[in-house]
Amino acid sequence: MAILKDYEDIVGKKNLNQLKSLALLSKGKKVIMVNSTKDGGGVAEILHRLVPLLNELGINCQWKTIYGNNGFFNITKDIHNSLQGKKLDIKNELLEKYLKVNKEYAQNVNLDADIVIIHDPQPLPLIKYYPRNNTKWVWRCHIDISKPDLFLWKFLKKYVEMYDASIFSISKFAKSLPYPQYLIAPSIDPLSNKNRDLSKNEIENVLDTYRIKKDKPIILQVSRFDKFKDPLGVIKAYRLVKKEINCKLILAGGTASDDPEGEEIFKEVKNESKGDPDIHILFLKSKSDIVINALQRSADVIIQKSIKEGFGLVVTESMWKEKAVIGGEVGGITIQLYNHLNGFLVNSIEGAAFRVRYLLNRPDVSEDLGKQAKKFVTKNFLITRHLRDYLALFYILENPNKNIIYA
Amino acid sequence: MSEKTKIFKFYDTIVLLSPTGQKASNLKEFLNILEQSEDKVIFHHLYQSHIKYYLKVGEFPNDFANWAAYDLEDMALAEKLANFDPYDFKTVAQVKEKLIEIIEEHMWDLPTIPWVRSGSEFCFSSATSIVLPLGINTSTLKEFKKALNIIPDSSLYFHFCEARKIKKEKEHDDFSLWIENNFGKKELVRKIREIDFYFFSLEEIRKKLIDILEDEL
Repeated sequence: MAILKDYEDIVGKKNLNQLKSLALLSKGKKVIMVNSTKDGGGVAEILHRLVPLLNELGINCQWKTIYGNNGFFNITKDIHNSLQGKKLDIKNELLEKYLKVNKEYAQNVNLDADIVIIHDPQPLPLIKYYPRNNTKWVWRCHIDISKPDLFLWKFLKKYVEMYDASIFSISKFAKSLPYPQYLIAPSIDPLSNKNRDLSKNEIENVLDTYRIKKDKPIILQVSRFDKFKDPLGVIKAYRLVKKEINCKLILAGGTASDDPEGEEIFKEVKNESKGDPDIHILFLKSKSDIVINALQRSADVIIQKSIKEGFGLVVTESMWKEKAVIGGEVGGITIQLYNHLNGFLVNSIEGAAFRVRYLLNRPDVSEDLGKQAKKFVTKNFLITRHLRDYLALFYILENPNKNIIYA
Repeated sequence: MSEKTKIFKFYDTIVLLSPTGQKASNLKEFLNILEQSEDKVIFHHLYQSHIKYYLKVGEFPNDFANWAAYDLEDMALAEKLANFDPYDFKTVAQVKEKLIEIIEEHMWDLPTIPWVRSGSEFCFSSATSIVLPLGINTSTLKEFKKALNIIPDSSLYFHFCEARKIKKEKEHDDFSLWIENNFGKKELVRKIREIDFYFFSLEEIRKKLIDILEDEL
């Protein structure tokens, strides 16, 4: 696993030195991160890298996950969807069960620390059931809660308001809350198997394994099989493109242990693509990082046609690989892609199809946008910038109510 | 090095953005929130653009002007807000007063209140800065130029942009002040102060400063 020094060639010594100076301000501080899965999804991926690197920088950082069975994760998936605006009318008894799992976990876990960071809604109510001491509790919300279902938001807000601070990925997600809110964008690890450079052989092996020939342009969307990622919309966009350009589509996605909906959506997508040999639907198991990396590097155009998105790290990963990306104009994708500068934002199936056609017809533009995209990610969305923001937050929490803190 | 030369200590700043949760979906709402906003909110949106990751060179120089142009689609207002120089004022309170005046006057002539589409609301924010010594100190112009190559962008931002406003009595950037106080070098100081940092990225400002110093040394 990469250590801090390994990032020097990518972000430069000055950025690493900055991290070390900042880390000294919080040296020895105990920080506990809590989320709901160690396997699958952007949050787990980030924590897998962030936690060891914070420890290397002298922060005593631990990572715990709330236990839960499928029943619990079915409820939290509904909560997740409702927070993103879907009207689901979650029954009271299910919400009671959600609280019960949190209560039981709170009784069995040790969260004594200087700072506890709770990721997303699954472990949100822990704060109610864990004895309060001097610990600063921070809710880190990764999802788009700009227009949540009102009933659910009223229910959850009681718990959100118990915290000392919240973190959101973009300012649109911030709420009216009685304490400071901070913006920290997520990040990717450029040295992970998902993002590191691959040899030609490694890429070819993956294409051979999935019987994908590079005989025509490849359009790719990598994402969990989830309605908010609009895989059916991508197939429709592909069909519009196919009328003009002979191309193929790969929809590749995994699922996470806290997402029971994935397999159902996968079946729907599979059904929709029946009879077209140029549509490849790949259901990836977890730990398919090299496969995703190879697919992204093989693609001619990458789409992320989300209709709701927390941040869209898959966009970041594709940009890192110098690809021109077409993303839905939602959530965190809007702070990553800028039309004609480093990619395209779209609002419809037709828009996605139009931009795909444009990029397939203009490989020169595609190449330029890809280069800009990588530069943009290097500056803003790598794990080292993420570490910096967390280190800053730890120190700011210790010095509340100041705009400028002289260390 | 003359006896009275003071060492230039480089500092770094790490800025963490802090949204207030308030959002404006039309110009009237924007003005109302602006009127109630704390100085730190105005400061952030007008002065801290350079440190934010989404800044693109060539765009308008502050968040308010960008929102007016790209979301409200009121180019006349964007132009007024862009050309308005917050560095012409001693305090943020004065800046706020002027800003409100510009928007009120602009609204007076409009037939209807302009709205943005859903998702393009102006999100108000402030920021917290941690300022810490970088451990790089210089006492000659040669050392200073060398240091400019190795300091992070955030340090350059702090000394060249934000420092002008942190202390109210300061009118200039830290670099030219240090050179003026310790070496005289009027021509060099003039060239540095002529850089209109509103129109350059930090990368470009760094290059300009190094080029100017190279000519001098």
